[in-house]
Amino acid sequence: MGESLKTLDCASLSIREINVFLKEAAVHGPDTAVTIINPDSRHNIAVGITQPLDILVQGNVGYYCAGLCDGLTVKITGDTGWGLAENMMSGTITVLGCAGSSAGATMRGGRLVIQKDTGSRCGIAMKGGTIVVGGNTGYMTGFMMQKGNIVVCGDAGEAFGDSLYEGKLFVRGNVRSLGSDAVESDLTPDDIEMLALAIADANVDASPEQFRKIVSGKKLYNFNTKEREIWKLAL
Amino acid sequence: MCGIAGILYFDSDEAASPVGRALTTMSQCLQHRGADSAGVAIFSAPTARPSLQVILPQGIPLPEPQFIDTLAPGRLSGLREIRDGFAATISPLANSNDRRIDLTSSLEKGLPGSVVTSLGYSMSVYKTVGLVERLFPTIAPLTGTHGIAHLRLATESKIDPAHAQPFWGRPYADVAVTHNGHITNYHKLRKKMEARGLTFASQNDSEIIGILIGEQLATGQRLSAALEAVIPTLDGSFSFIVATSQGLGVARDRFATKPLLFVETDELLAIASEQQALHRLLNENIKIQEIQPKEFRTWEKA
Repeated sequence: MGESLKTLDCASLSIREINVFLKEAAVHGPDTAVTIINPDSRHNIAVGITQPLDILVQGNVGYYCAGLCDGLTVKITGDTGWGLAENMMSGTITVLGCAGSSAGATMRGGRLVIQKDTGSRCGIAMKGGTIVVGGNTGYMTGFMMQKGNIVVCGDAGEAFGDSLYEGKLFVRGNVRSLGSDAVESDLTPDDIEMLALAIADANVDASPEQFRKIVSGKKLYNFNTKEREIWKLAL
Repeated sequence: MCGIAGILYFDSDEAASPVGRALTTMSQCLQHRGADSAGVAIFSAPTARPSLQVILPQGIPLPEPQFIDTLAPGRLSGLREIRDGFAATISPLANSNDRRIDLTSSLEKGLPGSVVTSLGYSMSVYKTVGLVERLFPTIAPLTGTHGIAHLRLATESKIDPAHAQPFWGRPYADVAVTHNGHITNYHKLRKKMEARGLTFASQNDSEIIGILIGEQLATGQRLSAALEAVIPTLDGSFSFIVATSQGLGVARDRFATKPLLFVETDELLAIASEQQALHRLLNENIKIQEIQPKEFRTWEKA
């Protein structure tokens, strides 16, 4: 934790007041730390904070937590609703519980760790950074992903990596089905190194060699009339 | 965006569980998802005879009992005033095997602009335009076995009590649905259903779901089989909860863009659009699960 400690009790504050408090706290420098209590599953907590700040959220949060942020270090002890860390630029966000749908959507950098399960469309249109899921992930994980890594320590739902352009997905458990143009590839030494870090973040008992790697087959890059079957399946 | 919620107490032989209180707590949390209208359907121990509820157009006073009797000679008794309308008990049918009770059209024709919002042995529906808190004095003390709630953000059809949810699956007794989403093949389906003789109380696409399920249940199917038959016919987005005298059912469309979460304990099942409603009803440490894309589930009484 940082040098300057502040506690924010959300019980009697509006979301605007909470976010203004956090923005002002961030002005005091990267060593500032805020503990949020009584978040009560409310939406839009810690949204639009673009300067480094250390935030501990004690409890559950609603939709879009830590969205549009840059350089935050956030730890959430409970569950989150959907749209967690949407379009995050950099920073580290750790959820000890589960996350709803579209966690890390359009994320551009940083590290998002969900220690339990997450819902559908995790990492949709992701453009950078790393998402680590300790448990299972829902359907269409990494849909139209463009860059970055998604590591799933449990099982993956249907259409895993559907229509991805670039980036890498890693899964340790079962995959219900691969998405359109998602193909299996071999682990590289760099992947093994990255996976070792991810496993430690997820706090699971696993080894990098247990993971399968999924990448783009790049068949959807250009339209080919001879491959109409692929396009029929692509959404 | 709409808010939906449901509650079912597994061990409620006495039908004395705090269903109204639970729906009040959850709908208060979901209010921000829709403030145009609200409603709940509460199920309690079945009565010997079915009852119906009628909502009158705004500003129309309660008609004289003698006048109502002319619309349904000898069929209605125990007439009582309810919010925006009246309720009455229906006298036995000549053919007790027939689940269709066609008093609705004669009442709605005789009282222009009125809508029959509920019919059944164990179901009561309460609706209002505006915020759900208007219903709290009425519904909070109500007990029963299970119930559903709806907070509406109107997109297409009118804002009046008739277009508020939950919708009764008319004409089938004890079927109500609360839906978040948009059934895009509504007009196509409705045309076919009207050709089968079914009637509608509103221009709202959500109403169709309960009627389709009621149609299946009337053939003697269980709720899970009814959902299995109905879901493939629905196009568009949906997360819905259906309530019958047997219990609750839920379904989500294949893209699951509308949220639906639930908590199941030994004592109860609670369903809601957002987790805050479930946490406020129970506590902060409950295990919340999500209904999966394409999934449907039922919790039926034995």
